[in-house]
Amino acid sequence: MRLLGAKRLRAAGLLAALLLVAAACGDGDTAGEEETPDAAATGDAGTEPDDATETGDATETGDATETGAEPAGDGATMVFGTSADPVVLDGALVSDGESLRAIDQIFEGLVTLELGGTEVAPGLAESWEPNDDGTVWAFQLRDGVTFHDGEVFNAEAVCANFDRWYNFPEAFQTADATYYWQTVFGGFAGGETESLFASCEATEDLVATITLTKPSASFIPSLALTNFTFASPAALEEFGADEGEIGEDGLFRATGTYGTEHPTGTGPFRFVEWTRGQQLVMERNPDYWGEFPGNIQNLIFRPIADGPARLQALQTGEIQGYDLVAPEDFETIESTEGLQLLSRPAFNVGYIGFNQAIPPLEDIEVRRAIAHAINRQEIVDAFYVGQGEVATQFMPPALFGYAEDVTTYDYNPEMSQQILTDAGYELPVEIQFAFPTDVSRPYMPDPQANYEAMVADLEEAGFAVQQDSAPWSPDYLGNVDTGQYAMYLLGWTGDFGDPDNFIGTFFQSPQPAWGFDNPEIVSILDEAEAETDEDARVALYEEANRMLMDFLPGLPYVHTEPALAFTSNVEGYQPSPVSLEPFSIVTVNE
Amino acid sequence: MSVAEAEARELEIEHVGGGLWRDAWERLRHNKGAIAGAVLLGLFVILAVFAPLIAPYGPNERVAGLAATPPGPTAEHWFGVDEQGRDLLSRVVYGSRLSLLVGVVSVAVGLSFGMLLGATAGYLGGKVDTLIMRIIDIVLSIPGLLFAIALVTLLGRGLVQVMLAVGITTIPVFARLLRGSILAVRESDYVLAARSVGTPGRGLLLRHILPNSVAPVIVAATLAMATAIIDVAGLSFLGLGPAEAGLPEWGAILADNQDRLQASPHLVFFPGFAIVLSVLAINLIGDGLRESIDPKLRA
Amino acid sequence: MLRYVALRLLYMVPVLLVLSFVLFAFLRALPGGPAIALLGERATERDLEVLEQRFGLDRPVHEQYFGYMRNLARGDLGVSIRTRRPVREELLDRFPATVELSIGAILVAVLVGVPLGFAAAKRYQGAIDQSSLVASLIGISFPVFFLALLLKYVFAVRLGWLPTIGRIDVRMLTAEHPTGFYLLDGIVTRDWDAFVSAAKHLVLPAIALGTIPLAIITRITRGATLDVVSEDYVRTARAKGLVSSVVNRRHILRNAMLPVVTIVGLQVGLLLTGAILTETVFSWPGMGSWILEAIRFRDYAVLQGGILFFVLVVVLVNLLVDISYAFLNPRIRYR
Repeated sequence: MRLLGAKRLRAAGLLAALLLVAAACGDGDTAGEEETPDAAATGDAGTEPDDATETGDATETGDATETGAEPAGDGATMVFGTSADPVVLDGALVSDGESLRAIDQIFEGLVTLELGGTEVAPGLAESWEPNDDGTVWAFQLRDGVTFHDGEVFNAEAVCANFDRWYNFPEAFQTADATYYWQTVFGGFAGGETESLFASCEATEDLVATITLTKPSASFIPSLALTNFTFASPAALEEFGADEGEIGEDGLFRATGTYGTEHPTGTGPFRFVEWTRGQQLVMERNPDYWGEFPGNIQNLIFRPIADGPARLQALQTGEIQGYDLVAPEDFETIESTEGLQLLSRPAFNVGYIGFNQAIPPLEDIEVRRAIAHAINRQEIVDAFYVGQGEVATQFMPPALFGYAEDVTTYDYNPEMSQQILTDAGYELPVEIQFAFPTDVSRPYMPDPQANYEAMVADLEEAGFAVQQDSAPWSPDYLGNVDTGQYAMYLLGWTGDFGDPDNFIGTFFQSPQPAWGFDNPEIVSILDEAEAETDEDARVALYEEANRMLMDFLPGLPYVHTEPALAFTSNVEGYQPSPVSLEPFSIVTVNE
Repeated sequence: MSVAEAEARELEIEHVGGGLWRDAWERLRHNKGAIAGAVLLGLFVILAVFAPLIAPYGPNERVAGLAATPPGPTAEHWFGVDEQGRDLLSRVVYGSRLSLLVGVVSVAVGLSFGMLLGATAGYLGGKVDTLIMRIIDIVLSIPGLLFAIALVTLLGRGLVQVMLAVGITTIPVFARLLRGSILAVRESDYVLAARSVGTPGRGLLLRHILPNSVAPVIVAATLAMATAIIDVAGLSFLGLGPAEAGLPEWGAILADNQDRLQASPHLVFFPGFAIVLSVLAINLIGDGLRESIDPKLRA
Repeated sequence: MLRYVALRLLYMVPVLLVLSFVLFAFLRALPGGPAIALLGERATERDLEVLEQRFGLDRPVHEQYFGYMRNLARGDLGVSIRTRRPVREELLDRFPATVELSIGAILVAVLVGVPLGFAAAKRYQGAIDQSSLVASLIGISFPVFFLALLLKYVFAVRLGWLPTIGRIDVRMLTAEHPTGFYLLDGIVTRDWDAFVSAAKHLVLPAIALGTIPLAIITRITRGATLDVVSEDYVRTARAKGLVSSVVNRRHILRNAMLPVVTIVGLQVGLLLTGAILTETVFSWPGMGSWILEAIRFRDYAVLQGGILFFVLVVVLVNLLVDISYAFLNPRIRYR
């Protein structure tokens, strides 16, 4: 769900072609700097006259830093508060946000995304070119790139990684480990599921040629996923990345130390140490091939599970930044001298799901009555504090295929009652509605506050709400997935800039959570996914959105811009809709 | 459980015979702490019973707009309002109903099952006793909150389930306590005397053993009630409290608003201190009861 | 004595065996499973099935249990489903943190509680007595997490005297930690800055966790001292003309310690309950927060291993308490 989730995205073909040109142009600059990486680094240091004192004063416990317990260096130290430890520092085997956040700093892929955007840009590949039918892709790799262990990055390294992914042992062929490989490439070597990947060949030292089993427009954009970044083949081998044994209980026990102690990529930071539950330490890669405009020498990710504790740690200077700030803290942060708030472009949707398998939700009149009953504007204004806008459909406005003219449902409780009585219901109409506890999502920072307001609205409009709740994971999600709840709060954060990632994920196949099977909707979504003509595709998705909002399988209520907080001496952090945010461009001032 | 458990042990250690109700009452009347506690608890009971008359608004009545950072105390709303625009004073007043109920019901559950088990074990003795006590030992070795969490996860969430779960975790405390008392009393002179004049078994249990074992149980029950209120708050804090959203129960109000400690501290302080005060009241009474029953502390 | 200890240890085996099975069955009876927890919003029915199969959760419970026990016999506690690491490793990471926190809490409780309770008893019904009783009652009336939140808010956030999270300043973590107990590490490696940092981080959590034991220990000490003071041998000692401080030390304190030791022992078991809450508030990387996380993820192996290990510790501590009893009280003889 994070980053380029990339269910087969056919649209981006043109985009990718355009980017080839851009890549060729952009290249000259980077190549030039690449030859003198040291000059760039010293240049940076020069612009910061107080560099030497930085580490000492940047944080509150000044005496602490004098001991020199930290790795030596001229640059600054940045401590970033994360919500959890990474699972493992091996991009191919994770799908959770905190793992990806860390891996993004250490590893790089063939392509990347524009800073703060969703458009493809060159990464470790300078350029790429398909054959005529788009099944064979030749990647021209950057020269002079080395892994953190000194190994050279070349076409063989690229193919070694692809071969590793394609030939993963069965233990890794599960959705929790290789979710993104499976969604982008399908199956594995010798598996039942067909794979998009056929082979990878080092045709020249710096040219990797990848052959696909069929053309795919989603191939290039999906390579920007953090999951397809490159590890040093020597390190993978030496530290047994895929080694392990199946235990007596049938569970796989990894025996290697690659992903926990020796992750080795080409990125701007390299791994130093990881103390679980306490900190993940990375340091600037002095041999980085590319630009490193920031000044962070030591980058530390510190897991703090409790939301309010992250704010407090920021206030005391124990950390210099954290993600997913709670809306009730916006004011505190903005009014505190020395703290700043950044927001990430809206790329999500929060909605009330209706399960049509549970009466009376199979009745469109009831669903309409609910839609009119809820004062979404008031809820969004109050609980998203300027960072939210009311949703009219199941995908954010920034995405193509968003329809301006869908049916909308204004807040009007009298009308709700009218609809219900006209449809022959006796008021109050009983309805079950659930919310998750113990969770805060970007689209739903405080589920209970939303929920309570909605319940009050519903009861005013002639419903009698039967309340329910459960801890988010696994209870709540389990109940939603198996269709236990009639009405429930849920949402989605986009992985990639394609409507398929939103409404395709939700509605393209019937799911117990929604409890309906509407062939018209499925067929238009299938058609839209397969369409290669850009304009036709946009039109199809717009139509799908219109159909959906007439059918009303759920009630979308918000798109939010999730916020990050930093101390105000942190400069240059660039929020991205898909959270691909490098720390190498960040400067921590004295 | 935690405090009650330890206190119960303490009682086991200190407990000496019974039969001093009148003395106890005399001493209780002169215990300033116990009287303060009784007055305080009385106030909470009055709040609970007459909530609709005392509270300025209904517990779920919207008196202001929704807000992520609701305003604190004003002349109109003494305790401020919450994020749903509800009057916090009214919610805290109504909350005394649920919170006291939580304490009473939990203890009732623990007490009834605990007494049954303890009396059975203590009176029958032998293998039954061994079996029951071993099971209780095992249960006692699991930390109470953990046990409660597991029970709530199993039973499902809801006010009733939460009370039940917290109640169940106190069963071992009462069972042990009653068994210990019965064992002590069974061998005492007057029971031996009663037995020797031919009082039948059940009559012996009901007429002589139980009444004389009850004193420490009452004390433990009082203290367990205090812990029950705290434990329900703890469960709420961990996101495992009553499932019904917006329930005006102190622990739930406190837990729901823990994230607003900085932005709107009143939402944390008022329900928090309501818990502390009510628990303190109960503890004062329990403490006074113990001192008055336990002759060793007689000055 | 040795025979007694051996018997007690032997007796633990069936208890732990029964507990391990009950726990195993109980955990698997809980609704929801690790597969859903891992996949979150992305879960599809097919993926869930595949994962359940991979985790061996589709096998009968007794088969899973015997598999688990065979591993356990080899000292293998299984693998965490969430972090994919061996449970034993995680346990070793987490355990010292909780021990350090618990010792801190017990120290707070004993170092303050015993003198306070003693002073209160010596001036029975006096000002110290009354106020310490009231204070201890207030202490046990605070929900642990509420106290922890207040302490943190006042002393860390508002006053800025102490840190809010973790066990040590992050810049200190690269210092060496030969034992995993950070205070001890500071001393062993003579890294005094690390020691100070670790100590600062420990203060608030230890106070929060130590408050209830403190209140209880104060009261027990007071009660026990009152009992002892009225005993004949104390009166005799006084009558013999022994100096007050000697009487205090040799007769009163020593005998009054008996119930105190029991209660301290009991508290160890109860500390984890408090630790779950305290560790959550202070982001303390210990067993409490570990087990709580595991509950959220239905991380069976972690729950199974963590809880069993914890119970083992509690039982062993209780045994230790009983043995120390014998040393403190020569009247007790174990057959």
